[in-house]
Amino acid sequence: MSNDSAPGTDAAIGQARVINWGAVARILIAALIVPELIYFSPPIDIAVVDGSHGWWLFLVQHHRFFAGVFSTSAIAAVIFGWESFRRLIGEELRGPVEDPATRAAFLAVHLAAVACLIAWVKTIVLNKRLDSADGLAWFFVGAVLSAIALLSWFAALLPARPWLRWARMNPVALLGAIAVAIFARIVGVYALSLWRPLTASTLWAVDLLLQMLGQTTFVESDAARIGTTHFTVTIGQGCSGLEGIGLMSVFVAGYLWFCRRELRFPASLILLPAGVVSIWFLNVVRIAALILIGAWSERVAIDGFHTVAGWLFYTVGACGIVVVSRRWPIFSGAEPELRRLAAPNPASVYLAPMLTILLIAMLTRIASGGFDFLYPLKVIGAAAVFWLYRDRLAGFRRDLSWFALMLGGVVFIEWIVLQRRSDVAVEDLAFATQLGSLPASIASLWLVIRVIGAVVTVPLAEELAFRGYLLRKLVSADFTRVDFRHFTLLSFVVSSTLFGLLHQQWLAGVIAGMLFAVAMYRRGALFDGVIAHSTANAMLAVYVLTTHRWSLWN
Amino acid sequence: MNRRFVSNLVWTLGTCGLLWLASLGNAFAQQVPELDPGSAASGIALAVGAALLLVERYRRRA
Repeated sequence: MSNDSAPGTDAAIGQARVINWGAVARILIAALIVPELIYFSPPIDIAVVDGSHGWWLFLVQHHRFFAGVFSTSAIAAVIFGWESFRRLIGEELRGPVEDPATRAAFLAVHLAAVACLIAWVKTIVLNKRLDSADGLAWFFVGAVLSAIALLSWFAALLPARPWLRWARMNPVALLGAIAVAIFARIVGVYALSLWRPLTASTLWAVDLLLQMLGQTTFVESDAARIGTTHFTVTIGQGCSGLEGIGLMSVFVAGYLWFCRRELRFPASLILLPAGVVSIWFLNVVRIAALILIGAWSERVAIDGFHTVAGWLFYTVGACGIVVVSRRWPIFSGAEPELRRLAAPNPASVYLAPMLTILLIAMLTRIASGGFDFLYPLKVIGAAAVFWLYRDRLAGFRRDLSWFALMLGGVVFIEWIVLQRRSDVAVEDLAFATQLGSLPASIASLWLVIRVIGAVVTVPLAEELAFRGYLLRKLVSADFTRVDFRHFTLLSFVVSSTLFGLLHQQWLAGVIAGMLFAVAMYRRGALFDGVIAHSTANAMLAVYVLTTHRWSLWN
Repeated sequence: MNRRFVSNLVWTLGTCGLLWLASLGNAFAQQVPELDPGSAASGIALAVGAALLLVERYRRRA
């Protein structure tokens, strides 16, 4: 049988899996909870209600806290009891749907309960009925509806038996997960108070760094302001370093987990505080550089550097953690002589094009000032990487598939249908104004290159990264041995979700990612995913150019 | 140190970190331009993608 792996690799894992439609139905049911939680997550404004009249109002007022604790507890419980969850629930989810009529009935109950809850929120809470004499009764109606909605969602996925069996097997994991969720939520709330002392330390360090560079500075500690005679910045809550510390903590924790077999413990745990300190220091460098650049160009400093430098420094910090942990024997589990052995990197052909586009997009954003004048650089950069890997990419080529072309058309339609942004007219006008400010010949050339990017370079780079690498990496650590036909629930959902999150229209992006994966699964050809993606983008380009809906390109 | 303990500890810290971010989200997403959805996703993708590329390089060497 043929496969589409890069030449020289041995695609041997799962060569002919059939799509499990029962599992797909369960994915859709499981995914229902996400938009529902998003819908109910905005705070319900009951400030006008007299809270002293009922303890239940406390629960209503803090429903976001409880929803957060519930969702985190659920995620943490799955993580803590992962082995048994995979064995018990995973096998049930992969198996045939038990008693489909009952599952469908529970799904109907769930949808009805959610509809009633929406009505409850709109008519009872917003009309302040909770403040009336029978407020307690109204509260219990809402609480019962919530419980029914939640329990029927679980029952629509699986019968109660496997859930209860798993819970009985993992009481410590369940209790631990609830404790972690409550603790983390409380820490999250109180962490906000950390920003003051963190800002003070950041101010001090930026001041010191600027003085070392020969700058005359002034500092207003109360207003968290620092600068030179030419340019001043106020350190806001996000710029204090809290966001970077949180992101770096998550990155290092994830890195330690995924590479736990290749790292030495407990020494590698030092990487957690090391990552936190390094990202704080890089934030100090960023603010000092912002002040120096601001003295030269305010526009570049505010619209470009300020926006981009944080992410570039985050990337530097993350890569630094990986390099240090692999090169220092105290952290790395590999033998010294093995560490020195050179071998080709199998992931480079899949990841390098996408990373090149992202990096150039970041750098050009510094100078672009709102309109992506330098878009052609992304196309040129990606083309250069494709040229570098042309021999390996040639191995992916297959004959055209009508199924892939058709799926591309379906993606285009769902992309247009799911557009729900309210500010499109403003964006369309801004784009048209800036494009119109260019000479006609330059504007035409820019549009041609923009279409080439949308139809050729972006689909190829994204499919290589998300379907070629990530989807297979989620099946096996040695992704080169995974056949492109190999379907697993986890890899299908996670790779499509992450693909969707990279796009502004995340829901349309998730669905598109799933359809591109389906295109690839059918013949086991990554080429088909690329063709479906290119087709969708080509149709979108025609739609944008004919209707002038430029915001669809943002 | 027990590997299971280490993995649970790391997961706990990771979950706390995620929740910390989630709790802070509203506070800083409105004030810091780099946390608008497009560039935040791109920034995280760039960092994680670059780190993955390095991990694959060292994994092959070992």
